[in-house]
Amino acid sequence: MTFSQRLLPLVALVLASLSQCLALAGSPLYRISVNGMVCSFCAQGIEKRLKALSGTESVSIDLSKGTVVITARPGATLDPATLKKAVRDAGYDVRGIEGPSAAGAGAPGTTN
Amino acid sequence: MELSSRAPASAAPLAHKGSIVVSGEVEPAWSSFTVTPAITRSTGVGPALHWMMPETDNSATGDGDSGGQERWSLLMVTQRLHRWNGAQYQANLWAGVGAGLLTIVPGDGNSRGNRAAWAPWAQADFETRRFYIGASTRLFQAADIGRLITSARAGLALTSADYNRWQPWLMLEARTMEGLQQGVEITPLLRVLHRRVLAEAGVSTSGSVRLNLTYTY
Repeated sequence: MTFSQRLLPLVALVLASLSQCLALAGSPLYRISVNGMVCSFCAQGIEKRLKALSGTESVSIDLSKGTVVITARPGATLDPATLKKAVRDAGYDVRGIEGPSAAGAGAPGTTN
Repeated sequence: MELSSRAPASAAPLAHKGSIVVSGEVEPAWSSFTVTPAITRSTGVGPALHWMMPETDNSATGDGDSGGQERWSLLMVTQRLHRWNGAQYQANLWAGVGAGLLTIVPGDGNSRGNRAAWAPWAQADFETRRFYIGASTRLFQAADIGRLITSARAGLALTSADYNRWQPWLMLEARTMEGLQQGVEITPLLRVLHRRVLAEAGVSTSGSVRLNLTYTY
């Protein structure tokens, strides 16, 4: 096996990772401030309902700050009213929604 | 934090809309198994089975047997009357009622038939990321048998809340169970919770081992 043949899988892996990073970098982010989310037993319902939305790529929860960050699928946008309903159906109240913003960008606009 | 229309004291009696909460409690005087599907974000309807072991057979059996068991088979409605959601806290008022059958099974294992039963209950709780306090009361009533179970709880989280880690809590419960146990029973419990799972274990001042497990689908 030549050097270039051995290098090929590594190059493919790097390109695939880069592609994934670029895709996520272009994904809109939404940050929801949630009232009442005081434990993981509460928050898992919020995560489940937000993940069920067709435009959701991933959900990240910070209990200490009471915030939920949703990464939308590349090219998708999420309706703030839909996000608010998902949180309310889980039993909690939305204090505010920021977004959409690109991953790694500055603070997004706020929608209450 | 849990559950179903249930036993004297656990976490939230209902989870998010579309969820199903399954809960079991085991202890010498009382065991229960409940399933509570949330049909709305504040209402659940599901079956509940409770096994109670009275200290002595009462007049209901009419034969003075001991070592008997009461089986309460109920369809429960769980209603969250109100929830206050704050940035640092959550507080709830719950109520519910069950209807079904009480089956008396004396020590000889032969059922003495069924009788209509109903079971109203109410609960109030307040919780932050590090502190919990709550109280509940519940009545199990059949033709000539009534069981009133009242409890108060306080809890302190031993670690900060983190969505990706188990969180242990130290809980302390005071409970009366009229007809099942005499006096006030005090039980320290270790609670651990992580997302869908809430588990508790403790030993009461009367030496009873208690185990509770709740899982949310």
